[in-house]
Amino acid sequence: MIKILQRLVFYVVAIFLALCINFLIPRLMPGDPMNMIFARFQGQMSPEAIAGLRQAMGFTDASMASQFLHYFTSILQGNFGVSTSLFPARVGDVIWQSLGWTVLLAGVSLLVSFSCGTVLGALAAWRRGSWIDRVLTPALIFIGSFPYFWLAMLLVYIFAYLVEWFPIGHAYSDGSKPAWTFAFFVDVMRHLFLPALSIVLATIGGWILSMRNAMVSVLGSEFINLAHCKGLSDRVVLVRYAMRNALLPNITGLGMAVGYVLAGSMLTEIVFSYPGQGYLLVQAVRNQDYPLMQGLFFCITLAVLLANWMVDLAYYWLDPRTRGQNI
Amino acid sequence: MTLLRTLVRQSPFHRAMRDYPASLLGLACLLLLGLGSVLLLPFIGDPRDFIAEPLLGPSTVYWFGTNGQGQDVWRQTVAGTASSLGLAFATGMSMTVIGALIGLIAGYTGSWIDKILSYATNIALVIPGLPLAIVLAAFLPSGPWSLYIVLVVTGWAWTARVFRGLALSLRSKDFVLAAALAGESRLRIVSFELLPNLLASFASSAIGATIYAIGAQVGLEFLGLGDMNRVSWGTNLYWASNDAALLTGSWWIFVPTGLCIALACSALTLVSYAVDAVNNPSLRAEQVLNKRLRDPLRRAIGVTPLAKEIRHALNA
Amino acid sequence: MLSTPNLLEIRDLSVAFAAVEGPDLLVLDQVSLELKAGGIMGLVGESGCGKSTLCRAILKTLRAPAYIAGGHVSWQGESLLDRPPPVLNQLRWRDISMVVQSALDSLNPVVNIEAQLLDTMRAHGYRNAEANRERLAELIALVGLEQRHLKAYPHELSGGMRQRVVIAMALALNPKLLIMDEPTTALDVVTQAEILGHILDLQEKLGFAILLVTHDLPLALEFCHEISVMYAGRIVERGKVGPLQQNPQHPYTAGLLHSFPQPGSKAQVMRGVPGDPASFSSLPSGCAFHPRCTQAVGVCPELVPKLEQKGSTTVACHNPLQASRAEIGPTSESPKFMPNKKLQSLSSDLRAVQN
Repeated sequence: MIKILQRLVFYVVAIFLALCINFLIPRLMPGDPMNMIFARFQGQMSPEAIAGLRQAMGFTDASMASQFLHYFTSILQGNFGVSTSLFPARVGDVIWQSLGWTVLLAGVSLLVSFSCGTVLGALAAWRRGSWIDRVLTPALIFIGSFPYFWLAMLLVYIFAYLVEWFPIGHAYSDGSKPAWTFAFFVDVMRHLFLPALSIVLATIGGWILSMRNAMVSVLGSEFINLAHCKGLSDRVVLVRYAMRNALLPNITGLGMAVGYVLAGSMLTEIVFSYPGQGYLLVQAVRNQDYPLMQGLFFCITLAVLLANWMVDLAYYWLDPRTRGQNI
Repeated sequence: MTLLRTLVRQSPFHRAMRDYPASLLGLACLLLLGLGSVLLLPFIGDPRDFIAEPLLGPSTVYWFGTNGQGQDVWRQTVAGTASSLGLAFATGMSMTVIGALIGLIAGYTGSWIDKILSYATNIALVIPGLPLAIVLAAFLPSGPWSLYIVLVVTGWAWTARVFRGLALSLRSKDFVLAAALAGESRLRIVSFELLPNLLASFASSAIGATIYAIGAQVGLEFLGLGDMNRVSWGTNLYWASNDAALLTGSWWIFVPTGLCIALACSALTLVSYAVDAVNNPSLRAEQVLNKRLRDPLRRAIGVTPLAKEIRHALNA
Repeated sequence: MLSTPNLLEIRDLSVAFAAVEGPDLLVLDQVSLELKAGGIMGLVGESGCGKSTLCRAILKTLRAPAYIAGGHVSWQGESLLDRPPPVLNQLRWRDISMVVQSALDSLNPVVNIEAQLLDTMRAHGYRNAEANRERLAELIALVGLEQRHLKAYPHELSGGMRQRVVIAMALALNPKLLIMDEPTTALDVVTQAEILGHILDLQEKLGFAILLVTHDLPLALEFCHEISVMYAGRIVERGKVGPLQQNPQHPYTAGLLHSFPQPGSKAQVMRGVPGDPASFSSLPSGCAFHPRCTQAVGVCPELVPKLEQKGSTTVACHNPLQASRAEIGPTSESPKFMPNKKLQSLSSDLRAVQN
């Protein structure tokens, strides 16, 4: 219990740090961010508008401390400011719209990749010398060495351009309206398939390898040997004795992988113009839309930390040693 | 010098390389890519020259064809390989050295220094790298150093965690205590008892860091956040995407670079197999026996094989 | 006279480790052993002499890179080594079970005790939940644990309790042979005496045979009917406890006997056995013990001695002690060992003093 609370505190500290980074970076960088925005609008903003924007973004003449306080309180209220590239849309609204798509893409890809990779990794360790171990694993690792977005480009080239089985981009067909209908669901799935496939292909090799190594390590343990001595069947030893123990270090890895998958999915979103957070972030960078950029960074960080915390909870549930009571 | 020679000859790396021919293959690929590209550089001419019509397919004249701006893709690939591998090794090494130092200090000194350093490490691990890198790169002035700084700042944490764990476990290992009790000087303790272990972990971390550096560097450049004046893997792909290579069906623009990246990363991964096996003896023991089995697929798990199931068995 | 058939018969068993370069390493060299039903055999030797290897070889659970290089093992008259894996799996635990040294390492850390006791029962066909539950209660009571310990995880129990769990697990299917590999080395002396006493009681009640592997010779002399002494992967002497103790023929056995101080006897100079244990990668030629032997003669470095019945014990030596009656150490009075019952009452006395 205490450990869970300690971890929670840790995550709160991390979020706070992310906020500080968000606050400090534009102020530490050379040049006045307002000048950049001004330049972008090429002098089409009236001085009052500029002053108003400066106020809204917190670049006032007040001291650093009070600026930070102002910034902090607005964040708590969910006010991330106004986007400059999508002016006058509020950053908060823009982020909220894209959140769902990112969660869908990254979530589905991570789940599929982790579960398939873990099972294949266990099989590769169990039957060393089999085709899973000698052929499939190295092949998937090689495929995983390609950058995420390169695989995305390749898949688009082959399956969307050459054979046209799947759409080239976006989350759903242009012109159709989002609705809770089966037809829309199918449409979304069709648009989700290639992006998700590219992320799965890019990451599954890593899961297979890490599960395989964890299994090999566990299979060398004393209790596995005793399980064999007890006359237990191969299947029982594999699943209940080996996998359940080898899974633990992989679950830890899952927490960290969330960050990586989110990063990779951002690049994939670019290739597919998939309207998620990553796509938005890159657009924001290209348009030098700093408020949106900062808002997205904060949101992505929050999501990753949340996912990490959930993985921690899962770990506590799965490993009885963490609950450490003594009879 | 003799110290080095002894370390190498007695080193488990020697043996590991022999057991894992795939790793030697990986090493060879790396050398080919790295040295090959560097040696070819003076001979290929300026990759940024506009030499022909854009979007020409591969031919005997232009081996990899031309890109969307009329530049020679072969030249761009070679130059990109040299540039990207160079930066990747430099950043990978830096990340590993910095991370190792921080981790070792944290693990070895303990107390409040350790608490602060490991808390910082954990936070650095948990804050997502690429978004942070994007934000940092967006704010930093574009130039050759920004990418280096961004990569090192976001990539040191993993190695730090590994080395802290290593320092903790080595600190309590009996042989260090015994050596210290026997009055061995600290330098001897470090170089003979701890070094082989540390070397293997360092090599393993350096390889992982380099793989990360390649991926992150290419990713950032693809987004247009690197030094766009360089010719590198990432910028090649950036221009490929910008020039709509996909939509015009010009696969030769992005395929060679992608293959080079994959080759480099796979080669690094293969080498890491051998390095990891040094630290993990049970992997090797299984390997040794499996190679000698007559019928490896039919071997029952958890059952000791008989002499007749093994080649060149001792018949006692 | 009709002799009872052997329960376990090991003939010229050899085990080797596959090597990367150079010749394979032989760790068991033509070991022979016999055990009758209900017999208690001790296997004694220094650390690393191959005792544990022998135990696991019987059940064919040796880990890579070990393989069985030759010999025969027969169980109740039928060959054990040739049985296919599914048959072997049925035999494992049901007929032959094992108690190991480190209980914490041998138990699955993420599964509770009850499940670990049940899974071997289910694997051998005992699927009736009711009957299993009763059997569990029996086993728990047998080793002195409580019902509530069933739901615990291994890390939640103390060392002594874990060892009891491992013993309960080993007895779950009423095996005919219980192999004990240094079962109490990791425990304190009082718990050790208690547990071993317990096992002896069970042995009297249930009648299983025991193969006790230990480096503690006095313990083996106390506990067993017959003892085999191992050195460098070979059996060097074998015999009933009485004759072995009174007239050891192999210099190594004699050395071992004189290495342990006897409680209750006069202070004496400890001789022990000079030199270091042989390493398998560089075994001395001929008899592996000759560099450390005070009895060595010319033929010792040349020829490996065969295990033969000579006098009151079976011994592998070119110049056994009975032949020369050479001095090993000061002729002290024959060591006094206490019989089983006395040991148990001693342990309960000690406990009383503790509490």
